[in-house]
Amino acid sequence: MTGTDDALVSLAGVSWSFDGSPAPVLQGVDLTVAPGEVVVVLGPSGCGKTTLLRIIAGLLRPECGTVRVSGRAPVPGQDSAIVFQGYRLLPWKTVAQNIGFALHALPAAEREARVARYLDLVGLAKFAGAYPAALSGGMRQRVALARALACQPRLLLMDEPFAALDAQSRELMQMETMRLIAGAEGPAPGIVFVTHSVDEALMLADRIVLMSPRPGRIDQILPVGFPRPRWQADPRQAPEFAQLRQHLWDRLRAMVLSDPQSDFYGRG
Amino acid sequence: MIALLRLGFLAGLVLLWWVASVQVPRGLFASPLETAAAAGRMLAEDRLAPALLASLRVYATGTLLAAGAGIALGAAMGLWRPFGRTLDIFVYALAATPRVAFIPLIITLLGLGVEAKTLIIFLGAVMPVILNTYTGVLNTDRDLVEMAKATGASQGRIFWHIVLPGTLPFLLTGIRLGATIGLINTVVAELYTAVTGLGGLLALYGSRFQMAEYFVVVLTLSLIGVTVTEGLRLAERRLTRWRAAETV
Repeated sequence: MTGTDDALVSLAGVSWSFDGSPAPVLQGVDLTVAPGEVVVVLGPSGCGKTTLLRIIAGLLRPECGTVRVSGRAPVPGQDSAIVFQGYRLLPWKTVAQNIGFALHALPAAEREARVARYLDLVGLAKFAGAYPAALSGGMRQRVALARALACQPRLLLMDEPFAALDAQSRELMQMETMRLIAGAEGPAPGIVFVTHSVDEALMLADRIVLMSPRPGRIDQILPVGFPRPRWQADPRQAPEFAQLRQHLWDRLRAMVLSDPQSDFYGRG
Repeated sequence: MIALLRLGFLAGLVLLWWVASVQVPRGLFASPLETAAAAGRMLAEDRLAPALLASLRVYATGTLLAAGAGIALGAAMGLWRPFGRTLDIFVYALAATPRVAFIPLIITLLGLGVEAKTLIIFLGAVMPVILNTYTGVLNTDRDLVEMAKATGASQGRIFWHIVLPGTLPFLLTGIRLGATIGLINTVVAELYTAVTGLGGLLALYGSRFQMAEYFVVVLTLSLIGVTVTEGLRLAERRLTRWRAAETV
């Protein structure tokens, strides 16, 4: 594993809880992410994975512990870009304006050129002037992805970005997204990807960070060694895939059955 | 097709008006033709235009001031929560009070002139603007604000690109409601303070049983109302074009 010095992200002893709540959402999280690495944070509801993402983005400040992104406390918009679950496009801006919104620091001409390039990348050049309401879910997701990639971040944070898509679109978008990220300009960004889907985690991750709920803690960190690019060499037939999948499911099931706040508590 | 049906309905209304004017004893009601003739006379003798201008001047002043102040106050209440929560109960109370009840007080303080009229119109028009702007700002999409923060957007940028566009449909509805109440209060003000403008003509012709002239004034007021609200509706549609795609 990479040392803290050249790590893209390093978290040490990070805890966080809601104002006034005695039960912490996150407790003692240690994690490093290397440049270009894809780390998938997997866990059931209530494990604090989305909170963890917000802390890495600099949107939340940890109560204790330290967060470093590229060696300093993260500044929103400068050290990372986020792809959110619900797309979060501005309905009153066109597709091009939505992508441009994230590039406010650039001079206008450069911004326009960059927006055009990334619209091209995600195959939506024809829809530059369309409002989000006129697009399908998959297209909106690609706009949201283009908005994040256009910032050319060293760190890309993805918060269950495909959760709103149907099962087929979801699988296609996973591969499409990995291809687009690989095809974008510059070095590949490091990625922290939050999901509750075991299969999504196995398809995307270099390492899976399995989290347990209440309080949110890291349960295990598992390397995933399937060859890349996985949209060409589908790893799902490999026996190791089935083994890892089984292992992750067993752990998740155990967590959910022993979590008093889950719907399945004690039903094993 | 709809336009044709509407024209047909208008013709039906005029017909109904004409039938009514034939039934009612002469002198209490005016027929459409008499009203049209009266309109021609009033225009030729330049009786209508000065009154119309006087009314429009106070109406526009009061309503525009109300829009400006209402947006500013409503936005401040929505953006700064302790301020809004302290004030909103009083604003609701004032909105529920018939503000024409203040007319005697306003006359005592400001007299019978333009200032009193403008204030009466302002007080009527400002309430829906404040309340709708406030509601709009409170309805700001938290997820979009978080997205903007994640791009490093400043507070000002969040206001201009997220809070304001999200509030716009509410705000425009508030202005449209305010403009309607403003017109009502224009007539009320002109009847209760120095008798001027279109409200003054209403009082004059009504008391002299000049029903044809009276109807001309009523129709003029109706025309102002329709023009203003339709204009605002058009502006609303243009400014919130992005919503059109949602309903398709």
